[in-house]
Amino acid sequence: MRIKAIFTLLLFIMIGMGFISHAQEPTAKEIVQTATDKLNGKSSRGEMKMTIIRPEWSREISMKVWSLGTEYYMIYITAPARERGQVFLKRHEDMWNYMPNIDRMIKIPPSMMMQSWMGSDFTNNDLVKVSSMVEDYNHSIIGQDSLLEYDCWIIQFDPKPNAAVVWGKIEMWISKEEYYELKAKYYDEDDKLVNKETMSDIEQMGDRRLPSHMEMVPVDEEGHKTVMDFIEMKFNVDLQPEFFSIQNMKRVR
Amino acid sequence: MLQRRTSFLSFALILLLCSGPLQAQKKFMASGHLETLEMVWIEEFDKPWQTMGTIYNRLDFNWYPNQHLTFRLGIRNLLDYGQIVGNINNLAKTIPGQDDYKSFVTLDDGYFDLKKAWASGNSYTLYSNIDRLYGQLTFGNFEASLGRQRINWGINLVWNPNDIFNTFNYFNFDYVERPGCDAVRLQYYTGMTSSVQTAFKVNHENKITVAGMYKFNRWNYDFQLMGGLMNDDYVLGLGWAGQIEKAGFNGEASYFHSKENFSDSTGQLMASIGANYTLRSSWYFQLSVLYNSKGTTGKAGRGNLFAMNLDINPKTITLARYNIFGQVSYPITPLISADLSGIFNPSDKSGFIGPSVEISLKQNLSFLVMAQWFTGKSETEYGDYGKIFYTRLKWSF
Repeated sequence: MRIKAIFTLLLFIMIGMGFISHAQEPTAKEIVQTATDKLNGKSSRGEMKMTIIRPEWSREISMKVWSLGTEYYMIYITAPARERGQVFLKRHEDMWNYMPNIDRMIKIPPSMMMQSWMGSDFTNNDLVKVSSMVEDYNHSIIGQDSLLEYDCWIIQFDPKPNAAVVWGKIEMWISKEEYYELKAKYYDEDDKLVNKETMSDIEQMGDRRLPSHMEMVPVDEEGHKTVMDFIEMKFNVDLQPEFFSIQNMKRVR
Repeated sequence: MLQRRTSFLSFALILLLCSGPLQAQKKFMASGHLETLEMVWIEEFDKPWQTMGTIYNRLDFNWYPNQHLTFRLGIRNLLDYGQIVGNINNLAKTIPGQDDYKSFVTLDDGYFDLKKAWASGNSYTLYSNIDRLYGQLTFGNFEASLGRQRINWGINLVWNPNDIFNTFNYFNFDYVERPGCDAVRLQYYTGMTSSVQTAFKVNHENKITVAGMYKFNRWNYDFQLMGGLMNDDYVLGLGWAGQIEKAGFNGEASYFHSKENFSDSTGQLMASIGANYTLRSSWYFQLSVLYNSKGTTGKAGRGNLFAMNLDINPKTITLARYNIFGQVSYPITPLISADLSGIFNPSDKSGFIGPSVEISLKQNLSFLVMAQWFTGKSETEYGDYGKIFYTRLKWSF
C-alpha cells in the first residue's frame, strides 16, 4: 500500500515535471540567446587560427582575441610575419586598427566593416560582431534535425526592420541539450544561399565544451572555404572595460 | 639549512606561479624582412634609361624585461647599386658642393648620427641605419619614452600637416616604417580613448621641436588638438577622424607662424582633408585634398628627383596651393591586390599616377610591380621626375 502510494506520487511528480519541462520549451529567441552566451561567455580570452583555403593555395592567420560582452573586442595578429603586431579594437560603435611598426592608428569607418577581413570569407563585421544575432533578428523554430548525433532545432533568423545587418535570412542548427551551434546557412536579401557554416570537433575549452572547428563555405565558389580553429579559449575571465583602451591596444601582445 | 632550502623552494614556486601567465607573453620578439627592389628611371624616353638595385634588410627587436619596460631597436641594412648610384657620384665630381651618393643616403636628420656607410664605390653603397632605439616606461596611465622613436601625429592617409616630429615622403613607398627622431615623449591617458602628451625633439641642426597634444573621442569621432614649436615656427593644429554615413572622413590642419618675425610676417596654413569608402565587393576608394596657403598657383617644381627626398616637413609637403589625391584599390583575389593612385596639381597641371599590383607568392613572400608615372611641363611640381618602374620581391619573417 505504502509502496503503491510512493509509486503514484513519483508518477505524478514525473508527469508534473514532464509537463513543466514541456511548458518551459524555450522560445526561439531564448535558444539563440543561450547558444550565443555559451559561445561568447560574459568575457573571453583565447587564441585562434584562421585558414583561407582556395583550390590552388591556402594562407594562415593566427591571432589572440579578447572580448567582453558584445561591446568590447580586441584582436592581436600573431602571424603572418608581415601582419604581426597589428591590433583591432572595438568599443561600442567605434573601431580602430593600430599598426605598431609605423605607430599609426586608423579609425575604421562603417563601410570598411563589410569588407572581407584579411582576404578571408569573414567580414570585419563577422569578426567583431557589430550586429547582434539576438537583438537584430526575429527568431522562429522552423524544424528539427539530427546533426553529428545531436538533436537540433532549426531556427530561422529574419532581420528586424532597420537593423544594420548583412544577411537577408539565416538558418541555424542548434543542439537541444548542449546548445551547440552546429550549422548555419546565410542567405542574401534575394533569398539566395550565400554561405554555409559548419561547426565540429567538440572539445573542452575552459569551463565548457564547444565546437573547436568551424568552416565557412561560400556556396558559389568551388573549393573556397575559410576555416577557424580555436586553439585555446577561456571564458568568464577577469576583463574590465578598461582593458579595451587605446593605451592597452598599444601594449597587448 | 633546511629553512633556506624550503625558502628557496617556495621562492622558486612563487617564481614559477608568477611566470605561468607570463609565459604566453614572450619577453623578446624579433621580426623583419629581406627584399630586393629593382628600379628603372626613365627621365625621358629617348634619353638613356637608368637603373638601380637595392637589397634591403630590416630587423626589429622588442625586449620586454618586465611589465613596465619596453625596449625597441630597429635597424635597416641596405645595399644600393647600379647606374643611378654611379651617375650621382659622377655628377658630384663635376659640381662642387654636390653630395655624392654615400653622403646623400647617410645624412641623418636626427640629433645622433645613426647612419653609417660600411663600404662604397663609384657604383654601390652599403650602409646601415638605426631608426628605432628607445626605451619606454609605463606606469598605469602614464607612459614615457626616450630615444630614437617614431612619433606619429598624422591622421590623414596621404598628407600629414600635424606630423611635426617626422614627416614622410609619399613617394618613398618602400619605407612604410618611416624614419624616427631623437626625442622624449610623455603621455598620460586620461580615459579609454583620450590622452594628453608632450614631446621634445632635437634635430641634426640642433633645432628644437616641442609640442603638446590632446586627443579625445566624441560623437564617434577621434579629435586631436596640438600646439608648440617646430624648428623656427610656432605651430597650432587640429585633426579628426570619423565618418559621414558609412564613409570614412578625416582631416588635419596646422598653422605655422615664424618665431623670429612674429609681428611682421603672415603665417602658413597647411591642411588636408580626406574621405574613403569601401564597397561590399572590397573596392576601396579614397579622395584627399591638400591646401597650402603659401603655396604657388604657378609652377611648383622643386628641382630634380632627389631634392624631393630632402627636407620634407609639414610646411613643405607641397610648394603648390592645392594637390588632389585619388585612389582606387581592389583585391582581385586575396593573393593579388591592385591599386591605382594619383596626384594632381590643378594650378600647374602636373601630376602623378602610380599603378601597382602586389602578389602574395607564399605565406611570407610577396612580389610587387609598380610604376610612378610623373607628368607635366618642365619646372612644374611633378614635371621633372620622369617615369620610374619598380619590381620588388619581399620576404617577411
